[in-house]
This record gives sequence, structure tokens and C-alpha cells, in this order.
Amino acid sequence: MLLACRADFEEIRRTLQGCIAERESEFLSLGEQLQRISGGAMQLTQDTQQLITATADDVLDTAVVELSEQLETTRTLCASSDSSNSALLQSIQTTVHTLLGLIASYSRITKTLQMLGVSTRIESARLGSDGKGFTTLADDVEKLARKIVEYSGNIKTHGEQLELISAEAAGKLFAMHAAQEESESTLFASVNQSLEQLQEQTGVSRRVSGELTSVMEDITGRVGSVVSSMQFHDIVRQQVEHVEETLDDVLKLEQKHGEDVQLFSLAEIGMLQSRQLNNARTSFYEAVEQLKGDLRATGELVVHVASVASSGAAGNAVQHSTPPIETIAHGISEISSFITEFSVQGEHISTAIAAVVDTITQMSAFLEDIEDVGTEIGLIAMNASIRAAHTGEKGRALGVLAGAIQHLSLDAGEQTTGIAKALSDVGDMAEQLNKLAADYFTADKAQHMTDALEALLVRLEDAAGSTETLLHHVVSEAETLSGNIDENVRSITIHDDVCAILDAAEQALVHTASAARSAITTTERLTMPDDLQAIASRYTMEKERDVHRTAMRGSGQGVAGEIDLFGSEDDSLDALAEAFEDEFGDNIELF
Amino acid sequence: MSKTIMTVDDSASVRQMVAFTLRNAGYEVIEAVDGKDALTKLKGNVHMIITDLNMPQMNGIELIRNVRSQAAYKFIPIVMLTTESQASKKQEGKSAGATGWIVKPFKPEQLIGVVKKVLR
Repeated sequence: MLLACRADFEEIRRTLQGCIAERESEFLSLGEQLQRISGGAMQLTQDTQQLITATADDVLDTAVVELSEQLETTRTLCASSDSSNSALLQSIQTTVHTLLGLIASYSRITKTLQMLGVSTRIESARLGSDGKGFTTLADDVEKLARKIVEYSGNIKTHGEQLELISAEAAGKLFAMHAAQEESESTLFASVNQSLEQLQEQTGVSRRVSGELTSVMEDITGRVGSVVSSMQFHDIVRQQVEHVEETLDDVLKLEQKHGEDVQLFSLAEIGMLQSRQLNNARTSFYEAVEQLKGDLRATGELVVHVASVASSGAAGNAVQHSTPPIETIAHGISEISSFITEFSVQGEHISTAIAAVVDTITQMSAFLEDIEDVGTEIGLIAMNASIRAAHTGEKGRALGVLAGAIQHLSLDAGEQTTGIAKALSDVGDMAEQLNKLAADYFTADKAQHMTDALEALLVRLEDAAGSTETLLHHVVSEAETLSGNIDENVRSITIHDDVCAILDAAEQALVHTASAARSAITTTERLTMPDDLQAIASRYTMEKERDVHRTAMRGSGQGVAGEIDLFGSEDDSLDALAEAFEDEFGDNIELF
Repeated sequence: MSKTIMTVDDSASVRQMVAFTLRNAGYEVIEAVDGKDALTKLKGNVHMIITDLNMPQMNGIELIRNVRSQAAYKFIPIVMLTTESQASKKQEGKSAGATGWIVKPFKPEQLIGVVKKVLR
């Protein structure tokens, strides 16, 4: 029986030899696959981070806000340009109307003056030498009448012209204002609505990006867990090699002891090593299953990435029949055309207003003439009074005429003052119009505005476009990676073969140990010799020591105080270990 | 410029995982199969060594003593990465000049945390 047991031990040792070490290439291949999967996940992380940067970091938001502000500036500038001019043009029209009314009154005065001049000349001729002074008066009156006719004619001509061109300018302004109102209600409103939709889209993308960040962190954790599992090839290889070495050393040393002691030792060692093999097999199986589970979970997380990114991209496509960015681009193109047209109309209106201002400037020149007339009327009135006083009874009729001339002169004076004021008011309005014209919506301003709008649109299209492209890229990457992972997981079967070998060896050891124990003839209590105990307890790993302790207590052998398997010989190392346990974990010490 | 770390282990699969972890964190990696191989590759800028304990030809303790005897590498961090967890072995490593001790299996974040701490 002893020989049979020894032969069994030898056979088991040969079976175990290299059963894990020989499969290192499979583990290395698995390691390479893990690196490719990790690389893929890393790339997915980088692309996802880029997506987060494109959406959550306000690139799209900033472009949207700037575009909204630029559109509002455009709309306000268009609105304010015409309202001030409209008010002024209306005032000019009203004042010109008043002026023309005054000119009409002036012409009536002129006619009366002319008649009085003729009457004075007739009466003066009747008086002969006594009426000589009145001839001069008649001449002055006729000359004045001619001046008034000339000046009022000029003012009337220019006033009527001004009435026409200011009406024309006001009409153009009104038409432009109407067109601008219509554009505001359609174009600007449409673009602003699309901007809001785009901002909603940004919100969706930001939510998607946030979810993706969390998922990528989970993937990193899973890859880390796979790295831990991969090390069990080496750990379990060492455990199995320790069993092999123990069996080998036992076979070399045993022969110097008695047969029962040898059988007892073989039984004890066989049972102990079967427990070690059981532990190794379980560790290996669990490590590989954990590895597969982590890879599977990584694949599921990657699928989740694709699903989340897909819902972000598809959701935006489904929500709007035309992508908001396309509507915005179309709207901005129309607004740019509108601004250009608006500036052309503005140029026409500027030209019309310039004509108004020019006419008013010409009319302002007549102000001095009118003021001279007023002065002259006063002199004639005084002259008429003096001559009437000199005439006495003979020239009573001339006195009446002089009085009438004086009275008319005063009327003309009042009209002249009114006309002068109207001309002055119109002159002031011309000055205001000039100032407004300087700030008017010129072609240069329009070009600057459309350039700014189009530059913003390009930024908006770039930001939105890159977001959409990135989303689709992330989806495609994730789908490819999850497929690779799935294939790799299905191909991992290394633990099936290895565990089968370890299990068979374990069962063989149990059988041999049992057979050896049954073959013991003595009834005395036996113990393992020291040299065999030393071999049996030659471990490196805490797990091996745990198994040994559990097995020895169960068998009643105990540790017997000669072998210190546990605890530290240096308390300071324990203290250091505690200090660093929280920072790195209980398997790490820094000296 | 990235730092260079040497990983010494007779297990190719362990070297693979250590190198993978370190390269992902931006470090350059030199691999050696045992202590003797490590000494032949110990040239130029090597900023840290991570070594197994039980290896053929030259084990980890002996490697540490040899490295510490070279002036250029007298003070570089050397961390053991091993299945061995017995206190007496740790003391032996510490006495030979080891900077720290990691019991396998390691988690990537643990290894990188230790590397960053000792390379400060």
C-alpha cells in the first residue's frame, strides 16, 4: 500500500506539473485582448470628453446667446432708425403747411399794397406839386410789393417742393417701417424660435454627456478589476507549484521513517494538499469567472453608452422635422437679405432727407430777405404818417391812403414775423435730420451686421455640427467595441480545462490519503515528523496558511508551537501597515 | 518627460499587467524576467523598480542589495510586488533596502497611487 500511495503521489505530481504554467500564452493573449478593449474604452472616453466639452462647456450656448443678441441689436437698430425720422418729417410737413398758409396771406397783402400804391400815385397826380412827396411813397410801396411778390414766390416754390419731397420721404419711411414690422413678426420670430429649439437640443446633449461621464468611470473600474483577476494565473500557478514541491519533497524524505509513520504522513499531507488544491482551483475558477463577469459588464456599459448617445442623437432628429440649425441658417440668410434691402431703402431715404435738408437750407436764405422786408415796411409806414401830417386839408385823401398803408404795413410785419419763425423752425428740424442721418443705417453698417451674423452662424453650425458628428461617432465606436468584448468573453474557457485537472488531482489526493490512512496498522497516536511538518508548512501566501491552519485544527495536529505561521515579528511593521491601510489598501505597506 | 519604471517578475502575465497599468498612467516601462536580467537592463534613467520576490537566477532581495550598491541607483524607490505576506520576509526586504511591499493581486489604482507617492 505504501508503494502504491507513493506511486499515486508521483502520478499526481506529474499531472499537476505545468498545468497552469503551460497555459500562460492563453493568459497573455487574454491580456492583449484586455489592452485592446481598454484602449477602445479609453478612446471612447476621450471622444466622450470631447462631446462633453462641445456641449456642457457653453460653446454652443455662447454662440446661441451671441446670435440672439446680434439679432436683437439688428432689430432694434432697424426700428429706431425710422421712428425718429418719421416724427421729424411729420413736423416739417406741418410747419411747411403753416408756412404756405402764411405765404398765401402775404400775397393778399401784396395785392392790397399794389392797389394802394396805384391809388396813392393817382391822388398824388391830382394834387400836383402838393402831392409830390406821395409819388415817392407810391414808388416805395410798389417796389416793396414787387419784393414781397418775389420773395414770397421763392418761398412758396421751395415750400411746395419741400412739401412734396418730405411727403415722399415720409412715404418711403412708412413703407420701410411696414416691411420691417412684417419681417420682425416672421423672420426674427422664426429665427429666435429655432434658437430656443437649439438650446433645448444643447440641454439634451448636456444630459447625455453627464450620463456618459458616469458610465465611463464605471468602465474604468471594471477594467481595473479585470487587471486584478488576471494576476491569478501567477498566484494560482504558485499555489499549485507549492503542492508539487511538497509532494516531491515528501517522496524524497519519507523513506527513513517507519511504514505507519510514512502512511500517516502521506495521509496527512495528502489531505492537506488536497485542501490547498481545492483552494487553488476555487480561486482560479472564481478569478476567471470574475474576469468574464467584469468584461461582460464592460460590454453592457459600452452598449449603454451607445444607447444613451443614440437617444441623444435620434431624439433631436425626431423632435424637429427640420433641424433647428437649418432653420436658423435659412432665417439668417433672409435676415441678411432684409438688412441689405433695408440699407438700400435707407440710402434712398437718406437721399430724400438730404434733398429736404437742402431745400430747407435754401429757404433759410430767404429769412434775411423777409426780415429786410419787415424793416422796410416799418419805414414806409412811418414815411406815410409823416407825409399825411404835412398834407393838411388838401391832401386828406392821401392821408387816408397813408393810414391804410401804415395799417397794412403793420399786418405785413406780423405775417413776416410768422414766416420768419416758421423758416427758423424748419431750419432747426433740418439740423436734427442731419444729425440723425449721420447715424442712419448705411450700407457699411448693414454689411458689418450681416458679416457678424454670418460669422456667428458659422460658429453655431460648427459647434452644432461637431456635436452631432461626435454623437454618431461615439455610437459607432461603442457598437464595435461591445461586439469585440462579447466575442472575447465567449472565447474564455481556460478555467474549464485547468479546474478539471486540479479537481482530478484533488480527488486523487483524497483517495490516496484515505487509502494510506486505512493501511495504518498501529493504534497509537501518530504525529508527523519535524522534517515533514516543515515541508508541509512552507508557504508564502496568507491564504495557504489559512488553509493549513483550518486543516490542521480539523485533524487535531495543530501547530504545536514550533511553526509560527501568523503574526508579525516586528510590531512597527504592523503599525506602518495600519497607517497606510486606509490610503492604499491592506495589501500595501510603505517603509 | 515621462518617468521610467522597471518591472521584474518571472511571470510574463504579471509583467504584462504591471506594464499595462503603468503605461496607461503615462510611464515608460522596462521589463525584466528575474534579478539577473534586471541588472543587465539597469542603465540610464530608471526612476523606480517594482520587483517580485521569488525568481530564478536572482531573487528580489538579492536584486535590491545589488541595486543599492550602485551609486546611481542607491536611492531609487524599489517596491516588492509578491504573493509573500509573511512579516519576517517583509522585514528582510526592508532591511535589504526595499521602499515598500505590495501583496498580489494589486488593483491598478493602488499601484499608481504607490508609484505617485514614492516618485514625488
